[in-house]
Amino acid sequence: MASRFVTSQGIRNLSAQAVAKTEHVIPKPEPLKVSTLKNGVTVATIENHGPVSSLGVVIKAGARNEVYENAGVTHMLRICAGLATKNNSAFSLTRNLQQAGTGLVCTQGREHTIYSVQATRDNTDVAAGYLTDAVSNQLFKPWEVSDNTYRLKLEVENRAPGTYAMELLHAAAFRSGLGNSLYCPSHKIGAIKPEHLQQFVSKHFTGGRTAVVGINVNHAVIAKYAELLNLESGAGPSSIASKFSSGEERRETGGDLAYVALAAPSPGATSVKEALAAMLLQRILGSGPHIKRGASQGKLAVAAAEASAGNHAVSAIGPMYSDAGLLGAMVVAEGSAAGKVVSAVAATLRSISVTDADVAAAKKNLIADVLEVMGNSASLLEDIGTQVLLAGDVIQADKIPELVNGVGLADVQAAAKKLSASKLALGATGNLSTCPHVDSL
Amino acid sequence: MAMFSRTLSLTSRSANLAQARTFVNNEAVKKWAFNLSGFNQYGLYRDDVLFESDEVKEAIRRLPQHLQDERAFRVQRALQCSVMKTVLPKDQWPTYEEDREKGRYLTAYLEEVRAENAEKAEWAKNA
Repeated sequence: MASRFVTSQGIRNLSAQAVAKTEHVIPKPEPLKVSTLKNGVTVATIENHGPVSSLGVVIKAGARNEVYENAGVTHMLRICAGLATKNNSAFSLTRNLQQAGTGLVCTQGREHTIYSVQATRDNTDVAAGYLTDAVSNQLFKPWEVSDNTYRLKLEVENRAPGTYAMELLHAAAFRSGLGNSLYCPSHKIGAIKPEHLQQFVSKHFTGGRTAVVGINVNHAVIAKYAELLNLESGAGPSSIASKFSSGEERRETGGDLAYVALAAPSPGATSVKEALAAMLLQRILGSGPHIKRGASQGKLAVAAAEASAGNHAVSAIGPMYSDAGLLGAMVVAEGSAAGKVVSAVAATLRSISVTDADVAAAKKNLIADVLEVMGNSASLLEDIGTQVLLAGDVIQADKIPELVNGVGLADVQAAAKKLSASKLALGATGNLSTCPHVDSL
Repeated sequence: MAMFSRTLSLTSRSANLAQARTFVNNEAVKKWAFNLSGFNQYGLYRDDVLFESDEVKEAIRRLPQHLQDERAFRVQRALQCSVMKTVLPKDQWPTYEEDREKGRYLTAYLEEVRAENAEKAEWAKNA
């Protein structure tokens, strides 16, 4: 008994020594590699030694590129992702991607569309083959498009009121272009035909507007797949410049709550310093609680709490696009309290005083938020892709803290001053019994 | 061994024989069979008289609307003839050539449906 105890101790000690001898070295992540191919496609890969690869084709085409005649075509395009192509039926794409342990995901913004897959490293080649086929060889068969119209209807009906308020805000602020909704307008459901989809794809899915982004993939291998993308050449049509207009879009739907989004124009991703100053200002205004079950902090939450004791939630919003942006607030409040809260929020937006302490805290928040985006493969993919296509180059992760800390108090105060002098645009839905009109704010 | 050499000689002659096997595989016989079937006397095309199995029903569902409408018209006209216990006047009967040209409108869609079903069955087999 004693001998057995001693023996097992002895083995344990030996194995402990063996482990102690091999030091675990954390491999350094490799920096971003960007190259442009003959067909105009940009290829960007980054290696951070994770077990899962993410691969995405990012295209500079979104709701912004719709015109009056084809309104809603980008929403339908997203719904039709993964349907029959020249080389594969929809069933074949689905099952083969399932065999590779992945599935196709299509994400869309106002200025970009991403088709992405996430697979383990050894299945990435297979997944890449089907991904490139699904993006560039879509057939849009008439019966498949009409069979999937119900999904379009479902997404439009299931839209959250807060999302709807944001869509209304964009429509009020930008009218066409960036004002086009991400969701198909009701009167267009069922009216989008395969020809519209095919025309949109031929016009906007060109080599110059496409980037293939890979995380934990081999750059050369992905470049080979990117060459297989069967796209038109060229840079596609240029976008009309965005212009902000002060206006409002209100949709009274009754109920208990009011969902109000109001915002002033902010510079888009044109100047890094101004963009960062706007983002810092957004965090100073406050974007909800940072602690689970904690109270919202920031200037907006304070002002709203003073204005009304009713239930409300306030958060600063700051969507940013390539040539324009918005900076403002999203208010969700009880119908009777909404008027006071919205007025208080608008008054705060007009009179923000920024101190050094505010800026320092906001900087820490911003760096944490950016690093969180970079920590999640799917959002990192989107981030790199949109930067490559819309801004032209990608800001490296290790430069971010330096850039953020380089923004001074004066820059943020300048942004606050511009905000106080701007007109507002408003998008509102829900119970608008007390919601003020934008010209009174 | 003898069978093997005979098979070999058969395969080498098959290219020539394929054209030579025209005992029934010729235009005259096909025309005679077409006229004997008689569906053209009711104004119908070959693809109108296919038995509507699930595959054929799905192929019809995928037809463009104008082809579906034309099919419906021809079927209704044929039903009317049937009710009146008569056939169309001879100048309205689709000819053999017309049926070859326009009467196979469903075949492409049907082949696609069959290929899709075969693919699904293949995947189910290996599941």
